[in-house]
Amino acid sequence: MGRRKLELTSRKRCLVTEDEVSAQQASTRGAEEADPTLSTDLSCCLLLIGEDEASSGIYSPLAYRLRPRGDDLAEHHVMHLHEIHHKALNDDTAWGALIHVAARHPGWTPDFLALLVANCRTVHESFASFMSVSLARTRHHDVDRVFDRYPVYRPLAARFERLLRPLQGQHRRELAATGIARWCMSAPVIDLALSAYPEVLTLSAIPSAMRPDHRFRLAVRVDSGQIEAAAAAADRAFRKDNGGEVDTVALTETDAALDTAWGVWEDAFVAHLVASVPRLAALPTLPPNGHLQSAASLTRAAAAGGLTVELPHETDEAPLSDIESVQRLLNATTLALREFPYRGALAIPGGEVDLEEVLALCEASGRPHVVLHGRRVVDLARSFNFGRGDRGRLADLAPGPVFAIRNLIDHDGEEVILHTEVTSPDAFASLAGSWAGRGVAAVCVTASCFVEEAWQQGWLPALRVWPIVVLVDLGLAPMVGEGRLLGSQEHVYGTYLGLGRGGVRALAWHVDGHPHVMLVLGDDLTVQLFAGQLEDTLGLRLSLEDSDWSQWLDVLAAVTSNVLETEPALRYDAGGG
Amino acid sequence: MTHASTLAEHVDNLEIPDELDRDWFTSSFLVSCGIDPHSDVADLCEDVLLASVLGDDAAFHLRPGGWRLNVAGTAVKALLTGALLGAALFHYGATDIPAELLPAVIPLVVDVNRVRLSRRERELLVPLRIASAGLGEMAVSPHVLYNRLEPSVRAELNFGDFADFCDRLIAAGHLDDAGLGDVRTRPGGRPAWIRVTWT
Repeated sequence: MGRRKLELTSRKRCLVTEDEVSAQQASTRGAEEADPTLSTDLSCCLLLIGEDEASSGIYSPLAYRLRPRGDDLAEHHVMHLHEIHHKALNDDTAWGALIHVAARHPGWTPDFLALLVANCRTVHESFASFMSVSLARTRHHDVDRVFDRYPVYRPLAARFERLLRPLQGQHRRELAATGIARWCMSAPVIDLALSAYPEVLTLSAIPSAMRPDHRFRLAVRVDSGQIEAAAAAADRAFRKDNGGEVDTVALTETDAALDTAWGVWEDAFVAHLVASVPRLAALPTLPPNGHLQSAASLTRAAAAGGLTVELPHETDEAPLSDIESVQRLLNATTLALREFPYRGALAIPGGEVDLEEVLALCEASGRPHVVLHGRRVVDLARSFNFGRGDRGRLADLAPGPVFAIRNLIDHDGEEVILHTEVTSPDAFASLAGSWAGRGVAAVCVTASCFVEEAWQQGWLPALRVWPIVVLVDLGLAPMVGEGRLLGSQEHVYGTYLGLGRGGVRALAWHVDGHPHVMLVLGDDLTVQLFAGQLEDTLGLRLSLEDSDWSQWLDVLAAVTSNVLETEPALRYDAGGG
Repeated sequence: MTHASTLAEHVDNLEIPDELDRDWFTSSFLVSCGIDPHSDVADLCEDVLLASVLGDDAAFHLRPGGWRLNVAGTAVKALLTGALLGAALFHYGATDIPAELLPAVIPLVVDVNRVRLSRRERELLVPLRIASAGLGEMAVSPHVLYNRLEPSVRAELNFGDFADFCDRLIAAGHLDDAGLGDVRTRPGGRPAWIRVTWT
């Protein structure tokens, strides 16, 4: 089976085989507390919304939220790739940087942010629609049918398809689309914002020549001859720099090498195209990453006023490794399991709740099981709608962790996730004793919680009475090393798990000699990204075949079903930072 | 060359459904005006129409089944005419102003009722003058024209772009240069015609 690496954006790539998809991009940290993707006002967001029960995605400058539905893998891939490209286009361009500032700067109103988004919506949606389907086509030859579920996006993708039809090969068209979309978003608008600062820039102060959709409407009018000539110039530049054709770069190269190589073609294509069309040449344009200096000045100006505004890239940032760039992408990913979080309630056995009644609930399920969840306080607090009293209690418990059994209960007609706290190792020992012989038992601790070692000495010896599953919610690179979750020398055995739930997949692995196993849950592309991280991180230490998981299957089934039933979303941002 | 009708007459003669959707807009309206529904001009027309109606309401623009408009009869005709004219001027080369803002500016410089449509020739003839600003043949600063726009339009329209737009029309001979940076509009009786073809 041939492995093919295809570009996601000029700076990112996607590794695709029939069995795996890998993509990467820079990112920022999600902030669920103020997550615009949960708002009913989506004017600051970029959207993928389909018909009926189609999968959906919502991108905000803070994070993107995916909602896979059904079991159509092509649709899930298009959904995820669509949102990745919104993120990529914003993270790497001047207009995108201004959007990031507007979304984060205290005192800048949502109205201005909405205007900024509105003025790039056409190029953004056209680019994301074109690229997502083009990349997904590598695995799904009939991917165009996905547009039947998203008819609004077909004519948007068609804008790039029509423009780039003269180009030979899918890869050239993707590079060209990336270059044009980035050019549209690359006017020196940050300088305007800096000049106006600390006043907020107004839209009327931004000339049309700097507005992305305006530039896009001018760009799509170039004729086929100009497109072909620009591609020929890009081919020449690429041959001169790399000694071959752009389609023949060894795809086993690192991301940085691929980015550099493909960047030569992309930059030459755009430069030649713009230079050959006077109406485009007249528009002010920054070179790639030419906005970073101004963006840094803007954040420094904010800092001088006591404000912190973090942007995706810094001026002196070293090229990211494959693992780092994938993790930046994952940081921004939220996989929604339900529309809105459950209401949550905390209870201490012997006080607000009888432990025996809780265990009876666990025992009454189809396959009796009890799962003790370990979470960081901040993670727990953002995941459930707790009442004021419980929020106060969580604040007292910070930084945590909090260990609790979860049950979905009916409380006055409202579904509530009851968290029965286990407040000490002794209390856990009592719980374990009470549950003995009644069904499957497991501990599920998030990796972000696990790596905070302060609690482990007191708790871990007691918890190991039950099998421990570490639920991966952060990048894998920090886990490598002596005494860490991925170890340094040990062999690692992994396996994909079928969950019987469309849209969510699982990958589990066991580090030889470790008492626990690790589990990642996500949509197919997210799981493949983690698999790619594992391969890149572990190399020959990793084996995804020929391991016996029979003794863990019941435990993993209990944990996955409990997590999927109770969590509002799957996230990979280290529990909220 | 014969021109079958004015654009206004053409729109008046259309059977416009109570609820407009993308299919009718592209397959019926644009095609009836000689515009290929799978062309950049068609995309422009749609963008301008939706911006005129929806502003920044992207959720509506991108709603799953496609957009639908319920607009009263006379208003919908003005929207259709504005969308077509906005796209036509942008296509013609009046690209100083974002296409979606052109419908708001057009009444300052276009005698909309006299725009003529030739389906056979796939073209519009657009008469430029100050049709309704009440300025006659006075020499005025572009600032004066700009300030006649709705505040909501001015909030999104860069004055420099508008001044460039006026300069472009002067350079093309469609407005008169009154000196000292002022412009003089043409009287209604002798407009300057712009020919826009859908190619």
